[in-house]
Amino acid sequence: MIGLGMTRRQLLRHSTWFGAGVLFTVTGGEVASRVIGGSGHAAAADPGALHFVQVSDSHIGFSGPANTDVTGSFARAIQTINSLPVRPDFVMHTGDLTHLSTAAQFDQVKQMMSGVRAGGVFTVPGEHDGVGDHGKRYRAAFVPAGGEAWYSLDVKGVHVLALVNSLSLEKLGHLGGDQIDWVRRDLAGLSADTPIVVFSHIPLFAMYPAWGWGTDDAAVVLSLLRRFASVTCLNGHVHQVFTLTDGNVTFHSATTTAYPLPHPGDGPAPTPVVLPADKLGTALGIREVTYRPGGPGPAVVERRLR
Amino acid sequence: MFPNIPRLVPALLAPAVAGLLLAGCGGSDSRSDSPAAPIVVHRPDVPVTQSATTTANAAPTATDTVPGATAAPSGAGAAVEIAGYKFGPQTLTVPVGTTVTWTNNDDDPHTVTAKDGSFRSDTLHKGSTYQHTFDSPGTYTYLCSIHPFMVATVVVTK
Repeated sequence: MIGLGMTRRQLLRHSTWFGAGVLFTVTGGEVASRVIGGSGHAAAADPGALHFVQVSDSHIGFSGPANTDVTGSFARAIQTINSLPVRPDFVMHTGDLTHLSTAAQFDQVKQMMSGVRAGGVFTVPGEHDGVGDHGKRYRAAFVPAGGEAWYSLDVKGVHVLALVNSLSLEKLGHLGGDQIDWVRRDLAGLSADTPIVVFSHIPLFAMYPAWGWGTDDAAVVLSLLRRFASVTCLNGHVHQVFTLTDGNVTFHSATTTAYPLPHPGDGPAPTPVVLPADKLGTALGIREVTYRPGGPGPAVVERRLR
Repeated sequence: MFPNIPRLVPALLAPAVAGLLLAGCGGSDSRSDSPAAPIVVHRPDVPVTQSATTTANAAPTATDTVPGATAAPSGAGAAVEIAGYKFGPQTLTVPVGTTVTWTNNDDDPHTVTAKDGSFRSDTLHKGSTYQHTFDSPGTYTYLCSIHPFMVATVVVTK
């Protein structure tokens, strides 16, 4: 696994810029997103380009000083998506849709997401979506046909994996043998030049395992992805933008629509960070990703909530 | 780089596709975009398996000595406080038959969930308590299923 055993300083040192379209800046040794304004949609406007949005960690039902109105924040995230000049081909919520997995919270987040205007809306679960039932209520809400919660998509020539690594409390994060076997079968028929996007709630790289910010059996899946020219792994869970590249694979951790968490190793535990009210919006956001045919790789843009 | 031939999706998966597509084409959406791109969804056809695993408790020892551990007197109840996203004490040693009471003093809810499945609280909101009586010796590791980085242990001695 990438980054296994790294200190926070080593991890940051190994983080890097990548891809022509990725808008990041490095400030004081920390990797941070650079939020751009309303322009820059040339790539997304290309009808041949795949344009999608990642939104994550809405924690509907959370109540605390770190954000006293997570519902309002998530509503602003949806408003931001619906205000983009180009409608996304799809929107992916990368988990922790709810805070406590109650039926009412699932009903609320599902109702709110029905207002997203996109070609499709998809989800993967976070550990907060499996509180007390290993994802039973999540499946009832988002996998009505039954079966497992992982799946893949093909859209505009890009193959998308939506993985579940958040429902095994004993080994958080963990994919499990059944899912890995399915990934092996799912990828088997694809040519090596097929662009791959992988969504999961918990990072597939070891961002900070002491806090559960890693996936103990991700190495097998990553080895299956080595033959592909372009692999982009997008996760939530850590409530902050972070980027790491390793060979053909680039990892992007997304921020949240709910409340920030500390940087890896800052403090004893990943507990909600309370910011001044006028600063909270700077920590919350959504992510746009655009693949252009023949381009160098995905363009990734982080957008703050307004 | 962009093969245009999507893999075929079996017709029987159509309901799964419909279930995932929470938002459709957005007919009232007037944004300048191309027609909706087809999205082909592949769902696993394997039956659901329970992701929970059961692990056996570690064998108890008569001389459990854990640095920083708290031992409860024989026959008494014992208490664990949940505060600051931590269980306190981190390791509690009690004799068989002890009832342990957990109290959540955090604003955020927590749970008390044994890794081996032998005990599990409901969601504990601020001020709520949960009790469990340990009838068998062993080492019981538990966590908060809402915040799985919160891990602690109860050692039950004979």
